[in-house]
Amino acid sequence: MNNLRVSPENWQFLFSPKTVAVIGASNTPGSWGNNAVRALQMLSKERRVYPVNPNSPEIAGIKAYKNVKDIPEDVENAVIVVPEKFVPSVMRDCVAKGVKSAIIITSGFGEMGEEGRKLEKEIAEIARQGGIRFVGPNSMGHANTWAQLTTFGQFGEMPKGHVAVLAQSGSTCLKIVRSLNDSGIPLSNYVSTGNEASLTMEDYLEYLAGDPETKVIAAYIEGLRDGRRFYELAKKITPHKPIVVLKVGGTEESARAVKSHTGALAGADNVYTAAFKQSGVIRVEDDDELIDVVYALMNSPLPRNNRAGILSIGGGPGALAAEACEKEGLAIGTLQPETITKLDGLLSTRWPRRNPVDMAGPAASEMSVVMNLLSALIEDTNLDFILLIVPIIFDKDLLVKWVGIAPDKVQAYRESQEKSILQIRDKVEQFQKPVVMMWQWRGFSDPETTSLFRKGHFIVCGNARRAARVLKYLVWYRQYCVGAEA
Amino acid sequence: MNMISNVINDMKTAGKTMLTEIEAKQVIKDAGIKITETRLAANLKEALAICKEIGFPVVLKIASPDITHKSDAGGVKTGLKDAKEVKKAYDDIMTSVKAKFPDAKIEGVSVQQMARPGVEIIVGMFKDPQFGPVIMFGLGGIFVEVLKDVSFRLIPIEKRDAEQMIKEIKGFALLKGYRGQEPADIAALADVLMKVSSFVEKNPDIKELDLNPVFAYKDSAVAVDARIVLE
Repeated sequence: MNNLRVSPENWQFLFSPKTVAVIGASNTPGSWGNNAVRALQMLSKERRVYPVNPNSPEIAGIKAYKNVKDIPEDVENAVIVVPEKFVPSVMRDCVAKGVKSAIIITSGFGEMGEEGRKLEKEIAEIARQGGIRFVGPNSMGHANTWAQLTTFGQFGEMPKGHVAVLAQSGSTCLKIVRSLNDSGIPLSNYVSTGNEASLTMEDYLEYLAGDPETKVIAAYIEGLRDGRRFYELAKKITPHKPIVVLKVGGTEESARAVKSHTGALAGADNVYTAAFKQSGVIRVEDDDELIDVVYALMNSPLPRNNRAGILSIGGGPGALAAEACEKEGLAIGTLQPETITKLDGLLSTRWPRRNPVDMAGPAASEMSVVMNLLSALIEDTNLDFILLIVPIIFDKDLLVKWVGIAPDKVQAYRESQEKSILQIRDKVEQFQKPVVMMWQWRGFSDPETTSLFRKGHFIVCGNARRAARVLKYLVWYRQYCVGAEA
Repeated sequence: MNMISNVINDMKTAGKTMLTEIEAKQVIKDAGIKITETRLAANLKEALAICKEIGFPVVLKIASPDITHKSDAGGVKTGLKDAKEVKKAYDDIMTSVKAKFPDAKIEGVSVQQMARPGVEIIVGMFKDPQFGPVIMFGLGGIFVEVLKDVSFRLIPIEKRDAEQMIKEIKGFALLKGYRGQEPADIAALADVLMKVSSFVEKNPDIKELDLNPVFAYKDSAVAVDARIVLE
């Protein structure tokens, strides 16, 4: 079905169209046909939006047309939101008009059983013969931040970035996109791929491989149409552009849920695992891990090996971190004698002189001291990355409530912290060693402080287990890349 | 490689999809994988000549398209150490089989080298509807049957894939030697995987392939049985 590869023009029309028709545009506030028109119109002045509706002369203040064929200029992209039974005739009109690309938001196709499958085949065939490649059906939208294009019906300017998200679930797509944005990671493209009757996961992957704005590709996969093609593509892409995949359907009931969701057959999960491993695809276990790993890939160097250095506010968190690392197959590095000498000058005489390093006592409350300790560990050639467990004292609320710093003094305190953190960033770059920062607090605590630590290219994690898993993935990925080069 | 294609082409021409033990073993041998030698002998004289060539001890098995459960028919004799034992085994097999299956068409006996015991390994290959040919590695017996302790890769594999497949299984520690048992030759096992991969790659008509078991020794690995099914 998809032997036709997609031409660069097709992608251009799909992701950066100059003219868009919204077929099934509506004046009903909150409807897809209304949101899409307004968002498309609002986000770019250069783009011309044409609502299509047989009954309304005007949609959202824009002149509407009865049929896509009536639009007075070429249509590069059609957004189709009409009920499923009208989709075949709409697709025929699009072909007659010479529409270049489309997205079908409408659901009720292959995911709904035999009738729907027939209808889906029919529209795919009409489009194929007419030279139209389309997203969906049963898609929640597609977006390209660099062209400020979105068919998700979102409003507000989209931050431009370098991570692409492909998802065989619209809701999961949006959760990943939002979570990445919240973590300070803007996107390049994102697509809810729907039933993939025309454009497939493999097609998007091929496009993103050559997209200069996309540096990391994240995907949520339920089932592939052409696993072998995915594998061959991934093998070429991963040595220079990481691919992180969340794949579901590894258990009996989840495989059944997947089948009823997009009609995709999950296939043998252990063969997927093998294919991912063999092609350098990082397979994560849930969406939190996906975000953590993408964040790390965008911000941090890759660790050379698996030896952890642990610098902790206290003995307990250090022991927990060591256990989490070992459970994920990471090693606890042995400190070099020079490092022990350096730390002797910074810590109380009672420190245990081994990794994990317990910085208990006054040392831990002073940012500049913590940064000196961290520096010493980064310089240690027996360590490949550092887990840093910092005290809650760096949290703004606590500075005010517990330590009694006046709210207006917090700003000055922050500025001094920032200086230390930027010094560490230079160190991280120079030695190519990731530093993971963890709070003595559930979650990220104070967002201001979190963003401060992110400026230092620290990976920020909620707990040691998450940190250890991120590092495990990074270590694996680097070793894959080194092996692929050899 | 020509030989392999010929066997497979002949099978295809004849419309057959299941290779006999002797055919499958011949194919595996030609693929460059060490396998216990198995040959067909039409009579006792031929059987003795084969023994002389491949060396004792040997296994004799009745060769008949009409007898599937060879042991039940008294058609299998193992651990035969010299010509005298082979002669007696041959006579016993023929007597027993003729008594139990008087109408069976008998082609003779297969003469097979007796492999000394080693660590039992399974190497398999099947076709996945999504990813095409897949190769499997695991330890034999309960490890594969109960614990499903196996690893997979897509064909073709590279050397590092073969090495990772072996190291990836939970039972890898057993291959490194334990309780005085000698360690298995990991490089030889990796070589078997590589050869199966390249053989399957060159012969896309193969639907399934099993080397079960392969015996791993400290300095080599030998396939003891082979099964090949064509599309």
